[in-house]
Amino acid sequence: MRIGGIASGIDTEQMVNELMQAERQPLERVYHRKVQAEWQREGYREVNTMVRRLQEKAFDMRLQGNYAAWKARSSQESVVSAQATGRAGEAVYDVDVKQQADTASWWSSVAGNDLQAGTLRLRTDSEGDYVEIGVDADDEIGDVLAKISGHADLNLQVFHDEDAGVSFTTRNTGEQAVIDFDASHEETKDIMNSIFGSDWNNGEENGVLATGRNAELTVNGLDIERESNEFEIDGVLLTLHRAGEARVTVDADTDAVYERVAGFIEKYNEMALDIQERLNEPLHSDFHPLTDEQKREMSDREIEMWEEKAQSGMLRNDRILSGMLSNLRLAFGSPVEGVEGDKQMLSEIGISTGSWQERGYLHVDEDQLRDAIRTDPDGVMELFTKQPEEEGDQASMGIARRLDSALRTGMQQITQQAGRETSLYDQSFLGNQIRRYEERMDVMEERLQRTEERYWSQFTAMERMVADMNAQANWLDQQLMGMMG
Amino acid sequence: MDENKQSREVKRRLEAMLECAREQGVLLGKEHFGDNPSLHAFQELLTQRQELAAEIDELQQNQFLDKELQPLLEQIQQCDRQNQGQMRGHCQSVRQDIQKLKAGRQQNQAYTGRRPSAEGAFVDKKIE
Repeated sequence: MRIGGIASGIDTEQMVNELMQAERQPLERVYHRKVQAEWQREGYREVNTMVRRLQEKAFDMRLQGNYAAWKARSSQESVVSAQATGRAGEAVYDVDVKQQADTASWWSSVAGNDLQAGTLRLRTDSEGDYVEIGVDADDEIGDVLAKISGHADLNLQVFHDEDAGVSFTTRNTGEQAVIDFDASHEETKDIMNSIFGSDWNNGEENGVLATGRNAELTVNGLDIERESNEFEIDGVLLTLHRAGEARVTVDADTDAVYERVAGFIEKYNEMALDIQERLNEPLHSDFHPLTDEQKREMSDREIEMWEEKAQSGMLRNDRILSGMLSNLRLAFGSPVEGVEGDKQMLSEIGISTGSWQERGYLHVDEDQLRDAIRTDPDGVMELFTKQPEEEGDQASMGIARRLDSALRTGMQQITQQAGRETSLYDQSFLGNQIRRYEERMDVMEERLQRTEERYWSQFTAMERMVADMNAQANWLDQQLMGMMG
Repeated sequence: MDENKQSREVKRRLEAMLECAREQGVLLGKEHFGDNPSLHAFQELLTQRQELAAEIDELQQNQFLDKELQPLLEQIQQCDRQNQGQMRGHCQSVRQDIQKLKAGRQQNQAYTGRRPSAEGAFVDKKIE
């Protein structure tokens, strides 16, 4: 504990504290820089998240499948429903469903409970192997049925009612689906006899109790059989619901392509606008980051207002972001060389830039874009997806490829500058800078502590000396008083 | 010890005391009085004076000093007054410096509070 000021009449502790505060001024400056670097890093990372999302979309836009969207319609949804995949093409299918595919099903009203122990062999796929189910001496009928029902390789529904009996139904359909107990296997026969008596195969050697049924239909006059009621023909998924006739029509889905292209442009505009705002934010150099101590003396509203100003302009005129925006504008704006069709520029399909004040904001003319997608889908696709004539040749590269490349470059530069939130050790430029500020603060703090110790030792010594001087002055006074008598 | 010799011995010590007070004055006149060497030297002079006063007390054996030593005592007293004034002056000037630097400073802990680690990694040591 330090007690100052007794001899000199000066409040030494206050004096030292005040002096220490003066020494802390450089520390305050480093702290401000450190917090500002942290804000800047946060801003970059926010932008990078937006860029990554847009880049993922740009990557998808490079794929030709995204421009070949198809729509399938059935004239009788209750007979057959249809769904087009990317592999479909423009087509009309006349479908006549003769019969639906069906499961294999068998039931017996006999269900004895005096079971024979052993191994039961059965299968539900006529081309598959038999599955073995162990039957113990103390198993009851319900236990055995549960084992059959629970066996994943059988894929069999089992129903048991003490009065009505037992039924088996395969989950698969088609002629390959069977309910087949191995009649050549003695233990199987014994167990089956102990449960179903002679009901299970009427004494025949063949243990196939039931067989499924294939779907039968004609498509454009051609006879077709399928094991399932759901199957694909020429990239169109058909689902059969009942026997009957229907026409399935497959057309190009201009809506889907339009939504994809316009949606991408919208995302780009959002990102570009956000970055522009950051680039133009005013910088308030008088508003420094607040310390916790300062915040304690302010209201929440005051803190919010102060920090809004203090955080403004952290990415003002930033070269990385403005460079990325320029590259994106170039990617959108310049013609794609070497296309086979007559569409070389986005403006030819209804996507154009506004005035220079809008700084690259893109406008979509819905009618023109829809018309281009409908009348020249290949041209639109080529404009976005064209492979470059030479590796890395931007001029002959499709627009989505250029954008993907520009966004990747931007992301890389931002990551070098500000790192990733998920990285364990931030090696970025700002990450290193923040670490250096922290190290400087640590060094300054250590130095301040040493300075404080030195001041204290000086002031303590001076206090002691003042006390000694007072004592010696008293001694002299006594001598003189004695002398005077 | 005869009275004359005793008086001479006392006088010699008072003269030494005066010399100490003057040297203290020189030290206090230095710009960097607060530095360790000056403070150390000043403290030595104070100790020396303390010892001289103790020797004088022993020589006098509770007797008062001769009146002829009064001018010498007054000289020492005058030096001491000047020294005490200078010592107060040092403290005051430091105080004024502090007041000039005081405005707008933040409390120490505002900057140097423990920083949370954002980039550390735990190294998991598997216990066999």
